[in-house]
Order: sequence, then C-alpha cells, then structure tokens
Amino acid sequence: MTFILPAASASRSCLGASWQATWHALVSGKTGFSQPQAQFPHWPPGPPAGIIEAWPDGAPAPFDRFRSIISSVLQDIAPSVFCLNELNPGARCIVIVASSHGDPGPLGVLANPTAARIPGDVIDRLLWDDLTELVAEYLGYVRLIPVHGACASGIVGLLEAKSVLDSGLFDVAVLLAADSISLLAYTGFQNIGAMSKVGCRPFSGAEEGMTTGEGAVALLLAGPNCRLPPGPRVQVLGGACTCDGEGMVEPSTSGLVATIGTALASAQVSPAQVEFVYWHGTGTARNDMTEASTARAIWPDGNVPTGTASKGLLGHTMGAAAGFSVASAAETLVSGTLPGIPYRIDEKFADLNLAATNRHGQFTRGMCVAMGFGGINAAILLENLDK
Amino acid sequence: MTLLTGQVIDVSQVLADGKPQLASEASEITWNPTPPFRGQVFDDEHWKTARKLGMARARSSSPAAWLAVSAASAVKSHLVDQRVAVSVVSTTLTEAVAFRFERTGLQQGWKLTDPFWLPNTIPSSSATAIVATLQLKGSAIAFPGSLQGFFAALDRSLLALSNCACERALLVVAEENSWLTGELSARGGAAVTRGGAFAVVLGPAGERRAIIERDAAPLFGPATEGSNDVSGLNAKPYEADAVANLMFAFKAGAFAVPPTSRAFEFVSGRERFKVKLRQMG
Repeated sequence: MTFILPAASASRSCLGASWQATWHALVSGKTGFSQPQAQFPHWPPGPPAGIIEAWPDGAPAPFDRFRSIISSVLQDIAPSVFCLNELNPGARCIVIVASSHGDPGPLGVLANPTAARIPGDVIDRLLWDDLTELVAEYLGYVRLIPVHGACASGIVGLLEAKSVLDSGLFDVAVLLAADSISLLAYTGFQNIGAMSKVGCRPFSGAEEGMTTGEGAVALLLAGPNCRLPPGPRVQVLGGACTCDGEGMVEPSTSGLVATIGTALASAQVSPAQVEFVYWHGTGTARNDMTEASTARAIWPDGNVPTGTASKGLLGHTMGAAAGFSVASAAETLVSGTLPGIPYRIDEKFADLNLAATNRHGQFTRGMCVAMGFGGINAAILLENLDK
Repeated sequence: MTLLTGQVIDVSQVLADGKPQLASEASEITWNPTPPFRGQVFDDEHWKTARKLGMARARSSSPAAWLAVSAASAVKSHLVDQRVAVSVVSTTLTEAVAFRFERTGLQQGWKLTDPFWLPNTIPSSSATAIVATLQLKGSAIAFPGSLQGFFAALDRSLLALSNCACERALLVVAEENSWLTGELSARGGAAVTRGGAFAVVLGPAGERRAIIERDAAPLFGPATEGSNDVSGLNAKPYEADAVANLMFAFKAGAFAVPPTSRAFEFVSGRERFKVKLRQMG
C-alpha cells in the first residue's frame, strides 16, 4: 500500500507560492493567467499564460527558471520528509522527478541567435546536468529517478513511486512533478492551433483551446511499512498508464477508456464506486469531446460521478498538470470540498455531471485522469482511509 | 541486497561480431563537424531511411527517435501480442529538434516552424513512436540519457515484469550524434561519442537465458571528477558508448563465453550503479 500525506504537499504555480495558496485559489475560482511578455519582453505577442508572477527574490532568468521552481517546492516539502525519516530511522528515500520536457533553460540560451557567446555553464548544464545535486541541497543524497511521460507525467511518476514503494525497495518517496514555461512551448502550442486566445475554459464550448502554464507540485508518499505522523492519509489504490499510439497530438477515446478500465481493475474499484473525477480538461475541443465520450463509455447508465477540471484557473502546467490533479484530489478527500468550474459549462457536456459550484461532502474515493502527446493515457484511484 | 530478475531475450541482432554496433541500416549518422549554427543538420538520405521504418511524420522527428524505432524494430518478433512496457533512454533525441524550432522561429519567424516539431521536443515522443510504429500494446515512457536515466529505465522494466504490469519490457537506448551534440561535447571538453541505438527485450522468469540482478538501493560515494567508472567502461555525458559497452557485456555474459557471472559497477558523479548478469543453464 502506498499513502499520500496531503498535509506535506508543496507547490508553486500561477495561483500562489504554496500549495495552500493554490488550493485556496482553486476553491475560490480565481484564475492566474497573465501576459508572459511582462516577464519575457522579447517573446512574440500572443495569448495569456499561467505563468508564475510572484518571485520574492526577483524573477529568475529563463535559464534558471525550471530549477528555481523545483527548489522552492523542495524547500517547502523538506521538513515533512525529515519528520517522516525521524519516525522511520534508516528509511530508504527516493525522489521521482516527473516532467514533460525537462529543463528548457539551457537550450533556450543556446538557440538565441543574438547571444554573443555561449556561457560555459549553459554547456555544462546540457552535458552534465542531473538533478541529484539540486535535490541533495534540500533532502541529502537520495536515489533519484527522472521520468518523462508527456502531460501525464505526474501520474506516470506517481505510479513509478507506488511501484518502488509497494515492492519494498524504498520506504519514502517524494514525487516532484514540474515544468517551466518556455518560448518553445508558448509558441509551439500556438503553432498547432491549440491555444485559447483569451484563457482556456475547459468544457465551456465557448473558448476552445488550452492555456499553457508552469508550476511544480511535490507530494510525500510512504510505503506500507512506514510509521506515519498524525494527520490525514490518502491511499493510492491503483492506476494505469498506457500508450494507444493513435495520434501524435490527438487524444483517443478508446485509449482512454481502456486505461481507465485497467486502472479501475488494478484498484479493485467499480465505476459506480468512484465519487468524483478530476478530468484532464485542457480546453481543446478534441480533449473535451474525448473525455465526454469516455465518461459515457465508462458509465453507460449515465451515473457519471461529479467531475471537475482545474486548468481553467491554473493553466496547463504540462508535466506538472497531473501532479496538481492528484494533489487536488487528495485535498478533496481530506477537506470534503470539490472545487467547482467557475464559468458556464456547455450543454453538450451536461452528462459529464461537472460541478458548476463547489461541492461539499464526505468523499471516500476519487479518480484523476491525464493524457499526453503520443497517445499516453493515465488514470489513478485514491481513497481516504480515515473515512 | 534486493534482487530483481529479468530475461535478456535477444540482443544479438543489435550487437554483433563482438563489437557494439548500430541496430540497423540506420547506421550512417556521423558527426558532421559543421561550425555551429550553420548548415543543414540532416540530409535527405537520413529521412528516406526514417520513412522506410513507417514512422509517422518522420521528417519532423529526430534521428535519435528513428534510431530508437529502428532498434525496437529489430526485436519486434519478441513483442507481438504482448503487453509491453517501453522505456527509451536518450538525451539527444530532443535537443536538435528543440534547437531547430527555437532557432528557426527566432531567425525566420514562428510561422516557418514545423507544427510537428513541438510533439517531438518531449522525450517521450520516441517511446510513443515505437508503440505507434510497431503497433504495440502497453505503456511508453522515457528517461534522460544518463547512467541515472538508464538504470531508472532498467529498474522500471524489471519492476514492471515482477509486478506483472507487462509481459515484456522493451528497453531502448538511443543517441544521435548531430553537429549540435558534437559541438557541445567539444566545447564542454567531453569526448565525442558515436550515435546509435540498442534494444533489449526483458521477459518474465521461466523463459530465462540470463538473469539481471540489480541492487536498486542508492549508493553514494565521494564526488568524482565528471564521470568515470571503476570497471574500465566509459561513462560519458552522452552515454551511448557506456550503455553500448554495458549491453555488450550483457551479451557476452548471456550468450557467449565464461565467466557465466559478471558484475559491473558504474560511477557517475557521486552515484554508483551496480548490476550483475548471470547466465542460466
């Protein structure tokens, strides 16, 4: 059994400098979108993005942005890791770093044709960089696994963490799901016509397109033999990650249906036992229609559990996105609040049973869904053990 | 020490004649020592080879990606009708594409960039390309091309097998040697390595011809200057050669001559990675 300790969660996003701030904004329905050109004047004009604006020590250069975001969440989660280690002397700790594209900073410097010369540290970062030393600054030297699973990386990383914890190879795991915004992502998503012009509103049908963003979320996980500190625990019941290979950028209903079916089977949970779903919800027309048809396939009787999606407020944080969904689902289980979608939901998605306002209740079990480029699909089931 | 077991089913097609080799006819990538930021990166012959593999949008992907698909194709017969956990290890497969995207956009305008460069700038694109091209069933994720990434992929493969999350694990290592990686290596004082790709299929116990034993616990020692290894094998920034040597050692241990058991230790920075290969029967 693998447990998430929600009280330890840490994050950095356009919604706030801590997980508590991000969660409060999600519950309050506040959006964090802004024009990236304010921080990156040389970027071409374009739509808003979910970029981090509040930097206590000044905004880092693009070269350092990814590492700065990671550092801030490692700093926040480190005390909880040490606390868990004190309860479990000799515990073996592992850090899983999940991201879609990794650190885009050095290559961005390299690609700039106006750069007079290439600084040595750019080359060093490209050639030698791994995150071991950065993680060691906050957690000491621990085994580190970097993993890339496109925009489903957060759940892919969580499943890797569950695998090593359940096997008994490690006792404590930190899942660090992160991506920083880059010129490549900002312009690339525009080039494929995937960006919303004014800010995404998944399932609204009115503003089709996604809003790229950035952020990091860190979750503290404990294996079955760990002594846990007082406080809420959420069990990772099971999950699945598959690749349908049906399209480079388009999602597939059959692929997602198969993945959710596998996830439910691995968790030994029936569709009717799922009480809420955090959908991927990017806001593109294809995403919204795919998830709607998936819901109809998984719950053909129409009893679709209450659904929500956070990218209309948070933006699409790419490799961190599924991590934010998992952190939110864990928070929903312990707080009893499911954030609503604070804008009008299109009638064609009515049978998705999306929450138009915050829902409150004694939630026991929830599911998170994610999709990524190349046909990667992922789903995970969580349960509150204390209810 | 925790032991994980897995099977090396077939590396003979990608490693032959006692020397690490490229996996297929896609072996003609050489480092083009063009001065940085000028000239054509890849020529049409490379793309013709890529198209033969059946990759979708091959021209928009990187040579490392189609090297990965090529290596995987060489062991496809072991993967048909199986649930496969595909893991691809590479650093260079996204570098050149990402560089080309940004450089083209900044110099010539963003409308001239290829829309399909974006999905090829994420590392998992090679793993998903393998699934799509070979029409496999299973999962596909990627790891960075360091020893850290390689052993993460190896451990993921072994755990997926022992947890019955898959019936076969396909582990692919692919690196391209473009002028960009050559330039970076030269400027960073690192040796230029060959490009190439290697594929290994791991299966469950019972069909085994060799067992991989991995001590997955973290092992940290004093910092070393850059990377080196204690067993005489190379561990360079672009790890193709190091991993090639490891794979060669696997082959030698699994299929060829005594000794039937070999242990290897790799060191990268402070991290030590141990692996042991034992021949069966």
